[in-house]
Amino acid sequence: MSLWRLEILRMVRTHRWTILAGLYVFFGVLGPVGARYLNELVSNFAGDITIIVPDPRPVDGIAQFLSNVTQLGVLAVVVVGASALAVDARSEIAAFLRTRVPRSHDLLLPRYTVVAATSMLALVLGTGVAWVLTLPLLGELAVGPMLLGTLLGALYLAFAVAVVAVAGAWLGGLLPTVLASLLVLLALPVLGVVPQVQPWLPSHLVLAVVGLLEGEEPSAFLRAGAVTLVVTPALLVLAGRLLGRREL
Amino acid sequence: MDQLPDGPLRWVLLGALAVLLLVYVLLLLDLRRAEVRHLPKWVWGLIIVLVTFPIGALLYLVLGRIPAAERAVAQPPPPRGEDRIGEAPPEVLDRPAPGAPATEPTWGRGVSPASGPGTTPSGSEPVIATQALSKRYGDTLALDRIELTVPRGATYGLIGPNGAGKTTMLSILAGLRRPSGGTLHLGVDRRRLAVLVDTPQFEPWLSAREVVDLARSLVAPEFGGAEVDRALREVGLADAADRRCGGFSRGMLQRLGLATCLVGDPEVLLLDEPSSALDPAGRREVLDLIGRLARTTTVVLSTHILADVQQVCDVVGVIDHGRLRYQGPLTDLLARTCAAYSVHVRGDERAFATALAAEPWVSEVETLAPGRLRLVTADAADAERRIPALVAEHGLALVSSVPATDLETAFLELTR
Repeated sequence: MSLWRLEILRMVRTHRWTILAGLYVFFGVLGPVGARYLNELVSNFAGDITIIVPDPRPVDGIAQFLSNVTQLGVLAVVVVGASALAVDARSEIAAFLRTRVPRSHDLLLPRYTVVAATSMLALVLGTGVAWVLTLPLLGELAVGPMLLGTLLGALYLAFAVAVVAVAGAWLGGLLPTVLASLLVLLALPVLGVVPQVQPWLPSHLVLAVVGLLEGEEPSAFLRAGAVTLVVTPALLVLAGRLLGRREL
Repeated sequence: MDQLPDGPLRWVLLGALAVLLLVYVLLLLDLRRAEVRHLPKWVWGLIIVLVTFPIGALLYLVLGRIPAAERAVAQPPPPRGEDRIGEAPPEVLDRPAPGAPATEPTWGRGVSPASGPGTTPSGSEPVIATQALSKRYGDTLALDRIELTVPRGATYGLIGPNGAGKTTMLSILAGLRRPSGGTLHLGVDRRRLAVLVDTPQFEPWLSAREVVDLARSLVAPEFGGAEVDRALREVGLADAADRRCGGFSRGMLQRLGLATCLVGDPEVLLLDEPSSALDPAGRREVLDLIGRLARTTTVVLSTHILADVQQVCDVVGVIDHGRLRYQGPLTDLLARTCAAYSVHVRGDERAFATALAAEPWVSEVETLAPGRLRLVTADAADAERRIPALVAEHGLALVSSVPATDLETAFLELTR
């Protein structure tokens, strides 16, 4: 029983993977269906008022999926991540591990990797479902932008889990870790109101797939991708240091 | 209803609405039965209903609800009164002591904190030694220049009232907290030092075998799976090896914790209040186990249950308000204070009681019941040597002679 297997078992036996996968798949179904029938829904509920909704395009299926899943998906990732990465949340279990694991990074790395990988797979799964349903309901989507955009979205989730790792190592408790992580992840897009800052923010990657499908150049996400690639490992190093310094 | 779209979409929407309502009802029914944490139940109820679905539901399920597997672990400990039962059996004081035999201590008498015991008087390097070790939490000095010396092979009892600093001391020894001042010397590799917290808990979804195997892979990966089974057998959990530990009682968790310590074949065991949360049977099991472990391992245990110390320890440190008031062999501590003995004889005890009262080492004799006496002595060693002889002189049969309040008296003298 290695620390890696421990984390895989945590994900499987506590059914946390089903929360993540279920949520992304649920919105993966809802997105294209919602986009396809939005016109009918609005006209039925509008009564006497005439609302003109443009005909849905294939990209709307994915856009609808992402707009639904962005906040709830990140919330689920944060909660699931915190339950693994707030190592000291239960001091008795933490004492068992911390007196046997020589370096804090050894403890942190499997937890981070398993949570991040599961989150990324859930996003890929949800996007895949949305893509498959978009095809008959709304039409074809370009393969290249879809793959690249999904990859960039997954990269953002890796960053989000690293934020949770830092919050968990710093604050220890489950609830403080969730709240602090959400604060950071929700506050980050606010910085994007400054046009010069926005292309550098990891949160710029969340809707990259939509941007790419609508014709934006991949280079538009290069800076955000580079920042995320640099910041994520840096956050993990910081989390390891904070955890190592933390007294139980 | 009229505003709902026609056709299949209407049924999809109605179905979704029905599922949503069903989920709400199920969640609220679950909330009524389940145990929750962080917030009161009524607040979780509001969160489920008022916070946008599925955020509220997810928050409750992941953060609020205590899974059934964890509930057994979360049970409160039994009342303290249950802990303080039983007396040390008569053989306790005669038990050969690895570090400091009761009759001829190998590393001298009790030392004051100021004397700085860097090595044991026998010259061997102690397995744990601290010098002027202090720990401060804000304005509170939890440990004040502690000079702890644990001889190799000893069973060291760190005793003191609640809040004396025992857990802080063990946490520093275990590397879980850093001292504010002073030094700590460990005579072993830290990986050969195993720690058991007072109420051990493990991931409730792991089986006992998986928990011990995890400990094995972390501290002694070179050992095979047979070592895991051996450790589980040693603590009496072989039959429960494949059960998930979420349903374990406190006693079983304590034994599982000991198994995780044993699996690496440690040189030093640090046990924090190992029996404080157990019922009498669990306490007996754990103390017996510690007694067996002490034959091959240096054991440091902290406790406020003096009877436990008397049963398993040969060296004690008395800590109070963060200061080490006494450190040395248990027998020395007992010998320097008044000790009480409970003597049970078969036959007419009256003449024996009169003879006892006339002995210079006896300060008080009381007849509790026919054949049962309680005597207070200023010299425990004299008492243990002379009582059997006096019983024989009076033609009586000695049923038992056991220490009564000895360590408690000594402890109170040191800490008042």
